[in-house]
Amino acid sequence: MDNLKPLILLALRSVVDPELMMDIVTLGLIYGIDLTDDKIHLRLTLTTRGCPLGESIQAMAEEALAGIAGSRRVTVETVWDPPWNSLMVAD
Amino acid sequence: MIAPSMPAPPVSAGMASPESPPVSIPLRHFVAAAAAFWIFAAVLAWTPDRFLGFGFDAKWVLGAVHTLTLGWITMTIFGVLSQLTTVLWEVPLAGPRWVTTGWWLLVIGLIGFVGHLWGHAERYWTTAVILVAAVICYLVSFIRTMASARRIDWTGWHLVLSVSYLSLLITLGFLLAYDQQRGILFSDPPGVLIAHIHLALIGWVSLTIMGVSYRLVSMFALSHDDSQWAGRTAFAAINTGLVGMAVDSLFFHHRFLPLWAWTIAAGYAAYLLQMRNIFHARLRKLDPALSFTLLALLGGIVWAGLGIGIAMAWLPDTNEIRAAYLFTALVGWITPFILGQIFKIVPFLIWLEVYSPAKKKQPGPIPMMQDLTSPRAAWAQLAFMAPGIYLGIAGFCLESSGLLRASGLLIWAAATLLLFNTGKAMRHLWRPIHG
Repeated sequence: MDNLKPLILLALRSVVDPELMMDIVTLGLIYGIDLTDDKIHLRLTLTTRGCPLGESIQAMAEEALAGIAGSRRVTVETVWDPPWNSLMVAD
Repeated sequence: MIAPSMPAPPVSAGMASPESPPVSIPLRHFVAAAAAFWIFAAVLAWTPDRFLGFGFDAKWVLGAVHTLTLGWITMTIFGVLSQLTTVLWEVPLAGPRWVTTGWWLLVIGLIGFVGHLWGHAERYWTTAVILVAAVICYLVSFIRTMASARRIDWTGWHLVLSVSYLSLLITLGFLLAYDQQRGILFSDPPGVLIAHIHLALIGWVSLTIMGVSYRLVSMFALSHDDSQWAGRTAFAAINTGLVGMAVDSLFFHHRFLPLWAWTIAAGYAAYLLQMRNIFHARLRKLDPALSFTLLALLGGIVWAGLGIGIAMAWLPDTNEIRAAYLFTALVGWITPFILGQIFKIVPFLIWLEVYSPAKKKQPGPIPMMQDLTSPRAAWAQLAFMAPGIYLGIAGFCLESSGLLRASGLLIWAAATLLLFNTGKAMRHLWRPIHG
């Protein structure tokens, strides 16, 4: 199952924050990926609370993961702890 | 790849929230503002003589200045505030109809006011009544929105004060317009004019720019800077200097002008330091928005220098130098900042309206924000604006209509490109890429 994580991250790199024009992996918005036999559970954050892009990014992430999930169910959870800041952006 | 746990510094904010008003509200402001900027630039390019001593036409200049200050600058700020206050204060815009009504009154009032001035009609202050009504409409909405805010942050306090200064300056402006025809209200009209102009340029516009810049420029630059001491020093110094200058000009024949000028200039220096920190910590390379911000900061330095020069009597106190001072503030400092932010804000709002997968499933690949406008056109705008600003300042200082015409043509080219980019983005509202 660990082989799937790089693929998941690759898929999530196609999800771009249209406000910042960077993908959500590089932005450091991905807080965790939980893999089981029947589910991919993604925990992500947003650059700010209440941003409507949250729903858009969540929808885009779900769509990106659906392409590689096979028979697994995809769930995306938005979390706020720790709050995001630009130091989390990957160099 | 997975972000590590980190302490919780302040988060940056977006440009919209679930509380945001319909996109038509900010967009109508930005379209009207772009048109006003284009008109101002055309007027400067084709009638430069009327701005200079040998052909000076006060009402013509007053009309042009208000096209710029109300039509371009204030219109843009109202559009930004209608959007940004909901994000900053996490509450819905109170009474969006007040804003829509304000927009109509502002457009009608501006056409009437400038039309009266350019037509040399008497009683032009009567149309100023419509402009006052327009501002009151906006104030009703913004103050109600502010009052319902759960918390007011650093940027929010800038906006609270700038809106307060707007209330003062619009009152003074209306009384000035009336007094210019009746001549019975003020014993020192030039002092009142100094107060009016600086409440507008510094209290209303510059404070808004500074507050917004801490939020938006940090976000666009992907910059993280916890330190706010320079910004807080700027905030204290600029407000102290402005209030001192206004009171001194209104009641004491502006005897202490140099003191207030230095205080405000020191505040601007502190602001520059805060911005230097933001740019120093940025993770993104310069794009048109950030480059316009740098151009604005440079314009602010020149403006502060001219202000000190006039206040200390190091520069001759002529109409041309005063005009150069105002031109630098309006076109050298404020305008590039607006151009930079608008380049980001307009496509963002349209993307959210048209392409957000949260609103409807998109049939094809989702375009980026940058696909909605032309970055090359924005770079070209910058290339036209930068020399246009400094040719204009030189044109006023040297009283050269040739330089002023060249400046006007360059700025007009930049304004035309702004209209082009705004139109290019707006087209997606009717003709999305996916059809």
